[in-house]
Parts: sequence; C-alpha cells; structure tokens
Amino acid sequence: MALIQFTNVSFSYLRNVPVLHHISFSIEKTERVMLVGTIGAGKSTMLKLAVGLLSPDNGTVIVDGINPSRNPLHEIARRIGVALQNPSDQIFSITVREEIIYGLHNLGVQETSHTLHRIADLFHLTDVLDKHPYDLHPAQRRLLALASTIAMNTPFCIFDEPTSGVSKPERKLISAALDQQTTAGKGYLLITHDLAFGMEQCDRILVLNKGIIAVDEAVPDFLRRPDAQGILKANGMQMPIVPRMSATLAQENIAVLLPDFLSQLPGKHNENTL
Amino acid sequence: MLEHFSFQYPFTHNPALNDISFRLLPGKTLGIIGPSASGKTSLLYAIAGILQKHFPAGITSGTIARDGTQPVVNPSEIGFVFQDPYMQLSGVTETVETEIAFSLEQLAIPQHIIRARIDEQISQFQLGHLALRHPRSLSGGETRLLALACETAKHPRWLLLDQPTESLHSEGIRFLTTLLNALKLTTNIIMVDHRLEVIAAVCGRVLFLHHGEQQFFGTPPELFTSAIDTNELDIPLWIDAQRQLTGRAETLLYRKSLRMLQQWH
Ligand SMILES: Nc1ncnc2c1ncn2[C@@H]1O[C@H](COP(=O)(O)OP(=O)(O)OP(=O)(O)O)[C@@H](O)[C@H]1O
Ligand SMILES: [Mg+2]
Repeated sequence: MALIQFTNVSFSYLRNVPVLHHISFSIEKTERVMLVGTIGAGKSTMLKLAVGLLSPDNGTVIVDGINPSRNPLHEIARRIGVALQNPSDQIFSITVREEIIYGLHNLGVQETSHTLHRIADLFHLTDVLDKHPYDLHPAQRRLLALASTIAMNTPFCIFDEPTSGVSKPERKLISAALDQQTTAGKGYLLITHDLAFGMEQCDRILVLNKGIIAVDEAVPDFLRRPDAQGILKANGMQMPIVPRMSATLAQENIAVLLPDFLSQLPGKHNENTL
Repeated sequence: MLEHFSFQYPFTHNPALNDISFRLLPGKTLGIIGPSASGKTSLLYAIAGILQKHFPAGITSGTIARDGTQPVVNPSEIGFVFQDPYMQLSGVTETVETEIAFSLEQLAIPQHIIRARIDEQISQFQLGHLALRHPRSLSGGETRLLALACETAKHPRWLLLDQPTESLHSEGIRFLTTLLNALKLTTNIIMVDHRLEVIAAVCGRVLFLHHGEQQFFGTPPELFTSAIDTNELDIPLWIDAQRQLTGRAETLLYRKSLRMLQQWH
C-alpha cells in the first residue's frame, strides 16, 4: 500500500481561485520524489494537505491508511517528518539541543542522547548545541530545521526547499543526510526550485502546473524526453546544465567522453543527471 | 570607501569583520560572496549603518564611508532587502498594495506618488493577481517578490540586497538579474548572494569574505582566474570546467564541449 495517496484532490484558499484541481498520485514509503513547479504553483499547499494542516475541498488524502485531516497531527507526525519552507515557522525551542530532540520528546521517546549526537554530528551542529536558534546564521538555522525533522526518525520525510539560502558546504551536508535516509530505507519528497540538486537526489519527478500534475515520471525517463526542456521552461525552470550538455553531446556522438569530462569537475553528478 | 575596517560584536572574542579595505567607484556594483558565517551580512549592515546603530557597544576600528561620510541609517536613501523575506513584512498591513504603500509612507512621500509607485511595482513584479491578498498568505516565492517590490518602490540611491535570489525559480532569478542590471544605471547596488553566475552577471566588483577576512577584491573574471582557494564557493560549472581544463593538453572534443557549455550559460 502506498504511503501517501492523493485521490482526485481539489483545493482552493479563495473561492474562484483553484490551487489544486483533481490531483491523483501516490508515493511509496521508500521512494525519492521531487516536486517542482513555478512560484505559487501549490507545492507547499500539497505538503500541508499531506500532513493534515489543510483538508481538501474534494477528494481524499490518505497517509499510511489514515486520513490526516480527521486524525490528530501527532498521528501523522510519527509517519511523516516535515521541514517547512521557512525554518522560522518550525523552530520554537530556546536551544539548538532542545530543538533537535523536541519532536522526539513529543512522540514520547525518552532516550534521545544518541540521536541528538548523531544528528548534530551529521549537520555540523555539535559546537552550537547550547546556542539559541536565533543566534545561528540563517544557513545553520536551515540545517537545524532539517536536523530536527530527520531526528524524528519517521519512515518518510517531506522537505520544502531544503537548499534555499545555503551554500556549497551545507548543500553537501544536506545531500549526505538525504543519502543516509536512503540507506536506512527511508523515502522523501523534495519540494525544490533547485533542479540540479533534486535530480541528483531523486528518482521520480512530479511537475505541478496550473493545478494539475503535468509530469509524473522517473527522472532518467523525463530527461530522455525530447520535450523535457520545453516543459521545464513553461514552468519557469531551466534544465540544469549537466543534462543539457549531455543531451547535445549525445547528439554529436561524443557522449563517451562525458563521464570522463565530468569526473574532472568537483561535485556530484551521478547516473541520473547524466 | 572602507579602510582597514574591523568590527567585533559585543560579548564575542573574535572580530566578525577583520581589516576590510576596498574602494567602490561611483556606478560600480559590488557582490559580496563567501561561505555561511563569513561576515557577508555584517558587512552589508555596516554599509547600511545598521551595525553601528544597533551595536553601539561593538568594537570598531578603521574607517567606513558611504558617499564620503560615515554611514547612518537613512531609510529615504537606502533600500534593504533582508535575507528572510518574511522578516521584511511590516505585519501591520492587510494587503500587498498597502504593504508597498506602508514602506513609502515611512518616507513621507506624497499620496499620489505612492499610488503611482504601487502601480509601477505591481506591474514590474507581476503581482496584479495578488494585489489585494494578505501579505502573510503569499507563497515563499511570492513573498520574496513583494519584499523586493517594497524596497525598489523607494527608488533608493543605494539598494542593498542579502541573498535576493533565495526562494526564486530560474525565471525569477533571470528577471531579477535583468532588473538589477537596469537599476544599476541609477542606483548603487551592493548584494550578497551564493549564486556566482548572478553576481558575475550584475556586479562589476566582487568581494570574497572568509572568516571575516577579505580574501579577494576585484572583478568577477579576475576572481575566476585567480589562484585563491574557491573550494567553498558555488563556482558556475562552465567556469569550473574551463579552469580544470586550462593547462591541460586539451583535446578537440574537450574544447568543443567547453564552447557548448559557454553557449548554454
Ligand atoms: N492563506 C492563503 N490564502 C489565499 N491564497 C493562498 C494562501 N496561501 C497560499 N495561497 C496561494 O496559493 C497558491 C499556492 O501557494 P503555495 O504556497 O502552495 O505555492 P508554492 O508552489 O509552494 O510556491 P513557492 O515556490 O513560491 O513557495 C499561491 O498562489 C498562493 O498565493
Ligand atoms: Mg512553497
């Protein structure tokens, strides 16, 4: 059974301004899925529907067999961890240490010190555990929000713009943390404007356009589509440079050189983006 | 405009900015880059005059000048786009339009001009469909556009921006790049951003900070060809490729792929 199941879901905040229009899709527990779309497309709205912060006008949302809008939030919280687009919306504790284990305590977990240190280490927060979250730099605050989400140890997570505002070193930490989730058999939904990051970290892509899911495909299949660039462009997005490059090189029959060429470059460019 | 400028926050042991010196000629646009916590925002605050005002107990040395005098917080002269667009919202208005009006009322601008500026910004940032919405109900990217609109509406002499491309999609970033390039003809622009391709497209000068110290000041091409360690920076892929291949026996195909990379960029 799918972990997240949207069936014919419609939603609007204001009458006459539909945001989501009869949307259906499902996500399995171990999948790595990216959700993209233009500014204001309704991505964060989908997140809120999935965890019961909003309920659909029509259709049903089912998470692990239960209906999020008819169940207490903590029932969903033990199934799906959420990192919001704006970290300030989710950070409430007065120290980094408390913030990381806040969710675990809420779930009634007593023994938190092992998790605390493992997660702090993963996100390079060990030296700032006693600081007030607002004394962190914005990029570190983003890491803290992700850390406290992952610390919940839920089978699945939704991350809304996890790389927004961070630079290369933090992006590497986030990437490593996501890879660790995968190794542990956990899946995630990544909402992002950062297509290069999304394509490196995900196997499946959903494109939300004008209230409907316009694309739902495996990332490599999507990249092989001749109209992939056009679809992204119509949604205000640009194909990352590596797949653009490889597409042209393939036409020119010099694709063999590409992995060699790319191996000269720092950073991670895996099979998917090729 | 900065000579050996240093600043240390109260109750800290190390300077946040250490011996920064550079002179920005009139009409030149500055990009400040560096890893997180390297002092970029502090430097932007210092140029705005915010740092000195809010931390009078901070330790300052050296000199800093904007337009020849010590910077003071002057809202009619400076537009400041904060890194967190939610922080930019006043919290006292009910609509996107009145939010833009609010930022101008602070400056005692006459009502008819305010009306014209609102229309100008709404059309420039394509916010028409959001004009009557509550500022707090906007999506992440929409909030960023509103924050930018509120500051450019002031027609400031100085526009300071802290990571303005954050939460925008490619089209939004391209739009912002074009807008800043148009504005810089009449406005002094200083911006912090991780996206070096945007910095390179907008700024004539770039300052690279690391642990509060100035690693580099010069033009973007000079930065990209310099020997300093840029490992922690997001160097655009095509520039990186170029650097990796320089000095190597390039094959024809490498050169060809390089050319393509450049075209795409
Ligand atoms: N409380 C609200 N009242 C009215 N409209 C809203 C409200 N919240 C969101 N919207 C609108 O719903 C649409 C979808 O918003 P959402 O936050 O889901 O977008 P998004 O895809 O996450 O965009 P972004 O990439 O900018 O974060 C937007 O047009 C937004 O303005
Ligand atoms: Mg959003």
